[in-house]
Amino acid sequence: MYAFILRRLLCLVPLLLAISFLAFCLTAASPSDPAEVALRVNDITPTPEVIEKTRQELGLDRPFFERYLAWLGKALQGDLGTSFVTHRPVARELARALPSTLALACVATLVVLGVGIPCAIVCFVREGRLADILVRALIFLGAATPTFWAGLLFIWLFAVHLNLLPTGGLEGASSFILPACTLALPSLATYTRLLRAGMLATGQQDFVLYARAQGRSPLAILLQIVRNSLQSTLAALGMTLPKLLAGTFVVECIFAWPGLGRLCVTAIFNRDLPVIQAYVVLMGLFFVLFNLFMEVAGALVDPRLSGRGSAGRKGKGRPDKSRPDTSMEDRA
Amino acid sequence: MTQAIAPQNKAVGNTSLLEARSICVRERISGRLLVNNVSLAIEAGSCLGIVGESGSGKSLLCRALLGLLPKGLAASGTVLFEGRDVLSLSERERRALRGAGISFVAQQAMTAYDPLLTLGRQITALFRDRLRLGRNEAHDLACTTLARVGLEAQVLDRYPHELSGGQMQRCMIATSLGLGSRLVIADEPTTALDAKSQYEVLLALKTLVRERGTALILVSHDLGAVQMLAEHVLVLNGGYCVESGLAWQVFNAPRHKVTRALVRTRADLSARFAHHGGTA
Repeated sequence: MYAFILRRLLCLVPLLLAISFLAFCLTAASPSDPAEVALRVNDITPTPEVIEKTRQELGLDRPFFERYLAWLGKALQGDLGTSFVTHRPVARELARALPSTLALACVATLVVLGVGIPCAIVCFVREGRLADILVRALIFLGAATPTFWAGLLFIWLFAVHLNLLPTGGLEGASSFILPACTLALPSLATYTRLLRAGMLATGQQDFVLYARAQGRSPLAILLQIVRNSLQSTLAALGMTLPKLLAGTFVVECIFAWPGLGRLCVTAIFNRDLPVIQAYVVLMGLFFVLFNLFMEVAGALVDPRLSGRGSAGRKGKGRPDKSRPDTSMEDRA
Repeated sequence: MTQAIAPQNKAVGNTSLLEARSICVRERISGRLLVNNVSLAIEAGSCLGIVGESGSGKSLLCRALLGLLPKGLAASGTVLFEGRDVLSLSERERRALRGAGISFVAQQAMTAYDPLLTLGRQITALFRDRLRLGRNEAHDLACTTLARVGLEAQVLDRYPHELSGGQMQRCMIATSLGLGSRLVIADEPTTALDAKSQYEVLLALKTLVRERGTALILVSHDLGAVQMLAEHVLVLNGGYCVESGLAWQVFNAPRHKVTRALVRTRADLSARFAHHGGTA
């Protein structure tokens, strides 16, 4: 297992380099001159002399690859540059906004799993019956509702009308409920349908028939089916977690959530290129790391993927017939 | 329509462990009959072979006896197991009957166990669940029964993908042994196995019948396997029972053309292999 993780980690290095290079290329390909942008956002008239001076200060007069390598070297030491607007280190800006977004995404993921898995189980157990149809209809409705609209409806109902929850901001645990539910809504539909389909397919497999033929309890069989259907869900979760992180913009704006999404959008409006560049790299990093994490989780669940088991440990393929087998011929 | 005849009339009556009368399996929507009016009976400690070509309804008949037909299919008739009609029982009652009463050895050995768990966890969980045993007792029972079919206790630490088809089949037979099943339905247990594994699986089944007095319904394409174990044979074709009786009678003096074709094909194949073996 350790070798498996190490191999995957090594594969990440070129991938992360490629992501950082692409992020650097994208900002470099921007039609605006970063020096001019840096001046304009600080209300300084961009005369040719001042622009030239700023270009030298920002190192923009150096060749492209030299600039990239310099940026990469600093980034590896945790220095992602300085914001054009706030003049504070970008890493500190991101570190300030990241925890609240991360917390929101984690709570949204818990909502997705905590509601999605039971819904999928209900749909599977009551396949084709009223409960299955109702749950799927509700989920379809949730998936079809735009996030901003769902967020506004939640605020109207739970904050304004019922006065149960805060309308926005980050003030205690209760302020997580509405944004997390809004963020989870589209993914909830995906996971319920994915897991339901997986469970229906697994339910047709031979080991389920065999377990039923031996009289195993329905609960034990259901657990087997759920466990065997989680592979696709885990793989999808590797993409959903970073998508929840990167896709919080709308929710953060509706609920005045002080997170990465708002930071990034503000940076885009201000053309704060160092922040945008760092945000792109950070999101790339999250995608790659969460995928790795889910791959490892998948391998932990399924011994066939990690080569676990005694034959796997010995580096042998199946079947390993020799040792546990006493010839029956002697017994004939 | 062919009226199926119970193999060996002595098997039909009060002494039968299992008696199935006029079993029909049909598609719910179209009403198409897939198994048509088949009857059979089997006593404790005996073996009934069910033979027939692919698609003749052998596996469906077995699943009807277990009350485990796929969705969209329905069974009718009477399946009396120890005097109780399996088809009219509730699902809870059927579940109580399965395992200790009627057990199953599946055709697809490699996919018969959960791929994510070791065989030890699965077999001991089954024993604990069905026999109300403690963890250690279940483990000991698993080791004992595996030894009876020629497998060592190490098998319990293996995942299904680490064993061969023959070993997996024997694990299923060991499971039936451990559960103390009174009837085992083995659905083509030797299909897709090499000759040595086939022989070992058949010996394990023989152990089951001889030592425990378990009744065995052996479904197979392989007439040799059926000849080795079964006293009575039932021949299916297109969902109908076309012939039944004592195994030696059916194989030596087949009355129906399908049975004759099956016997002739096997004889031709044997002769061809003998010829090639001789000239090699």
